[in-house]
Amino acid sequence: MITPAELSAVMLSLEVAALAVGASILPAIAVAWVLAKCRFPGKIVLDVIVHLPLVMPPVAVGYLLLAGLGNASVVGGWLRDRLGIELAFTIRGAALAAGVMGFPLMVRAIRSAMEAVDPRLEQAASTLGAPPWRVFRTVTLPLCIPGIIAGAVLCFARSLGEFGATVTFAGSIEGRTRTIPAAIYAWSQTPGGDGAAARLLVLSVLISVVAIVVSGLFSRRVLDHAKRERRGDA
Amino acid sequence: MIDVSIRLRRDASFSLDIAWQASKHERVVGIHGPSGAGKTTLLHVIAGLQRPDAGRVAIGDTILFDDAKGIDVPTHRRRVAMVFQEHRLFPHMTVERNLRYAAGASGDRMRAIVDVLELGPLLPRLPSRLSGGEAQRVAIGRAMLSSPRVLLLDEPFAAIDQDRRDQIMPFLRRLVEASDIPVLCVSHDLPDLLRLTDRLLLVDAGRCVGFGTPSTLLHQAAARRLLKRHGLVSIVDGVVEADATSTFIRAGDARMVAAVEGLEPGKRVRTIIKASDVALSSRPLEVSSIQNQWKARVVRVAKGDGSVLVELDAGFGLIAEVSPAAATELALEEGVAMWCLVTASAIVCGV
Repeated sequence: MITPAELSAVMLSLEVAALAVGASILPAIAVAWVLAKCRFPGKIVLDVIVHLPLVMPPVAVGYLLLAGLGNASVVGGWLRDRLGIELAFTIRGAALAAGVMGFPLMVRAIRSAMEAVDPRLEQAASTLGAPPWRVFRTVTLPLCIPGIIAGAVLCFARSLGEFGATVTFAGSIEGRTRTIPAAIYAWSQTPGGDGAAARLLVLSVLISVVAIVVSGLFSRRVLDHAKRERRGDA
Repeated sequence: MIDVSIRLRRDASFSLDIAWQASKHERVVGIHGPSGAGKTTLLHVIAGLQRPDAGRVAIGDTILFDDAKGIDVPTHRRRVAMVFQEHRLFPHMTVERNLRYAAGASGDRMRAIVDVLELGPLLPRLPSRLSGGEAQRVAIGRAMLSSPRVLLLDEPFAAIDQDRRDQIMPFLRRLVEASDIPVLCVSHDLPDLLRLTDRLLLVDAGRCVGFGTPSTLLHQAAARRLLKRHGLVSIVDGVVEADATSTFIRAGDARMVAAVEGLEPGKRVRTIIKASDVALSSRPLEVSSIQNQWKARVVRVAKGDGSVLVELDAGFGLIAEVSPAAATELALEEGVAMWCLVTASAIVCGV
């Protein structure tokens, strides 16, 4: 039987993952657009910064977040004192850490989709009098929706499994920041906690399977819709 | 009306250096030249899709680019509509949404364009459900709906077969005639271009080598060389007539028989005749399969480049290309009377 603490970890994980995706989707679209469509000096620097969380140890990313946005830091202190926003050791912090780790995956998926959009269509739109923002909104964005969905699913999955950065920046406070991976780790280190860890393991597998199936069905619907459009049945 | 004076160096092997003006009497201009001559680049520069290194582009009183004055109007503010070789319709929008995408596509204007181009039945369809010709018709309509200052057509027929071209050409001509905006049409297919206009801008290796009608261009050596390379043609406008036995085209006093179906009496048509398809004879042939024999007077004889070009007046202007040996044998010179022989199948009918 699932205990309230286990259920809390599951719900918290889902909330953290949803927050991470929700908060990072617009910045990811913006960064993907800049990387896919713009040429400027130093682009490689932006590219490297965006991809750093993929190659850095997650604990190091968490430590960086703590150093930069923790309550003792200049920015973190300013956020807390002036705006009342506390990040470290809160659910917001957990979502931020998960979002940072999932961000490069989302950007990569969206960037690939944007690069696949035929630039000649965007040229045609501008010759029809559409300013750049309208071209983006009406041509580029709709044509890369499958890539945005794929990026969001990847980020969601990465957030569900995120451990190192989250634990370092947000801690593992039961009911506040203890997500499934943190809870599994905590119980695996606790005598007699194997049963709870096993149940959470099964639950995390189930959530992953559901996420894969749902995203698969969603992707299939998008692809089928696109195929119907290509055939002209829509 | 159009004033272009630009320099653009793309790489070591290609540069565009064109200075050209067209007056408002030269509203529809065909741009012709070999592949890689810079025709499309010229259109891209006018549309603002490519920035020249230096120069000036103006349509009427509006300056679109002037490096000396620091003017470079962005593409979306130029009101320069462009129809590309491939239709470039937005694949996720229906034909109707594609048409409405054009800035300034008001209801009345939309209805008018839809009527002229007969797009009504296509409106709910997606571009993937259109034939090449239909898609290009929609692209032309969409471009016109953006209320452009100038319409640029970049090889609009290159991606579609001859039958489809024949279907689109009347629509395009009707549309061009119904509007008063300048039209620049790029094509490497001279007969197709001449079905639309008889004003040609010849471009070769990034330079303008001539601007005028085919007959005036013949007097310019560089232009003549280019025209000869792609096949010299004559344009003859006429009216379809019919008698008890046949349907033919009346051009001046001459009767022109063309192997074309569906000619309607009373209709004005433009015909294109390749200079190499015109044979000359000092007397008419009595029994022959050649349907067209017109008496003409030699206006001018131009020798060189392995053949002789003969300008003739048969009640309409006609150009014949003959071998130097034939020219000698026929003793071709100005004022001599000749019979021009053209098979019915050599006459291409425009619209």
